[in-house]
Amino acid sequence: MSKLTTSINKIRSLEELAEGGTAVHRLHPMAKLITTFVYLLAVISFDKYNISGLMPFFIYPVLMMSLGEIPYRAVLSRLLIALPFSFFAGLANPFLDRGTALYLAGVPVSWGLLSFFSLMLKTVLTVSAVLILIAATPMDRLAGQLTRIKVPKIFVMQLMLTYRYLTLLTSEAASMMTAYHLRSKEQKGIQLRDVGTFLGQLLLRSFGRAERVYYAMKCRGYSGEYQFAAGDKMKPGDYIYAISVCAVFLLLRRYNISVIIGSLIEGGIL
Amino acid sequence: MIQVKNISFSYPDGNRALSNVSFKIDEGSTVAVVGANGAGKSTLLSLMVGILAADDGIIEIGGIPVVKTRLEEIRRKVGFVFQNPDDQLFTARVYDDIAFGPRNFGYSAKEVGEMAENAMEMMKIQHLKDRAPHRLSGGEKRNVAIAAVLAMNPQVLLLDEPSSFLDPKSRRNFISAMSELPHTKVIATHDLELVLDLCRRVIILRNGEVFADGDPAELFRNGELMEAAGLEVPPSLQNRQISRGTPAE
Repeated sequence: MSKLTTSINKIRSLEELAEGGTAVHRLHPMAKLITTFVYLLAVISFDKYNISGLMPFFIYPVLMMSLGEIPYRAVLSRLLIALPFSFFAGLANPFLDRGTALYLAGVPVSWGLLSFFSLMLKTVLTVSAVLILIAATPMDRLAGQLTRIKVPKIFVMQLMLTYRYLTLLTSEAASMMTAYHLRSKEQKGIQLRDVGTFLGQLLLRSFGRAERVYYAMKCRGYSGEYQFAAGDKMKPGDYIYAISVCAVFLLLRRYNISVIIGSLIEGGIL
Repeated sequence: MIQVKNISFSYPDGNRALSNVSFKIDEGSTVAVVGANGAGKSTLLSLMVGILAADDGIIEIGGIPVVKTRLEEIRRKVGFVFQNPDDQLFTARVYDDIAFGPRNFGYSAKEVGEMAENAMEMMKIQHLKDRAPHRLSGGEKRNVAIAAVLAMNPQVLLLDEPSSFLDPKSRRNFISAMSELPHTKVIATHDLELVLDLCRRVIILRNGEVFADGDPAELFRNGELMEAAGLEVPPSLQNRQISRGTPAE
């Protein structure tokens, strides 16, 4: 019960952040959507052994979090949910790809270890970029922009409804849990023999809810096509932001700043 | 305005919810439908807006029969406010929910804006415009749900248990908001005090049949009739002080 309530609160707290009024929040959602998309492409497209090239990309999440007044804790704690997936996906790399890539202070580092680290870095960068987008943009405005870039309406609709009813579903599950615990000896979890009934009950309730929501929509003239609001126009500032930030990403993708700075320093010293 | 003629309805599981129900409702009047649980109130409302289709009989609203082919016209005329506002408010922003109906009926962006503003003004909820529906209080949700229906400029409002989920103050606000609306209203409810405040006429259902039809103040006083309908005389009409521990006299 307490776990469920905490996760509900986590979802809500990210949502509350989206209502902020900083410069990052005021940017047009389309500008943020495009820059995030370009950022993701740039990060993902790096070679699997390339770590130094990824490093400069940390500037983006750090800058956005500080300008958008998004607490590090909010992003990091959610990042932890995604990390195990790529951790286990990349875990085999160091064992399979054992050729020595370089020596770090005399210790040999294998190609596998490099690709494992770059995978983890990519996860951290991409997931935090998306979390920042969500924390700085209200969901309804984001959904409207998704239809503008021709994401099929049915997907956007699914996204919106899931987002809207997730809290109701979890609170329904939470109250069922409480009712269950009050009548069971064990205070932890649900006993295996009751799990089926519990989930079934939750599913039936969701069906009932879905049906009522659908009828309510039908009663207001819904005919299978959700009409999204037109949304505001992008201002010159939004264009400048989107173009310049994307240009920076592409430059960082093309030229390895870490290597350039490194050679500059070496050149200065030598 | 509303004509219900010999309506019967059974659920697929064989449970007979309504049998041979008939009544007429005049334009602009506010009529309550009361009855014990399972008397057929919600079924009746669902039939009136075409969510369910009657087995027998005809329902006409403003001269238009409620049949599958004319549902669009019916839904322009009739606004249905669901019992649980969470079933009705599905968008991430209050304004989008209120604009949902007008947008579906193909009005231009400007007209949609005007209709939504009007509806918000009627329910006095302009300040909630940009809020997320699931973070509102029960009373606020109810008002938004009603505004979402009013935005379509319906002539008839059907309200299913409108005072559930409301605290006493929100309930009071709801009653005063309702009394100011000129629409023809049909209210299905257990809240008999609300009926006394808002309605000049009440239809009492029992086991799917019209059991009594008349002035609420008169019918509700009749203890025998209320008992037989599975209801009880509301406290404000009982000729006794509400006792707290010691009986009065």
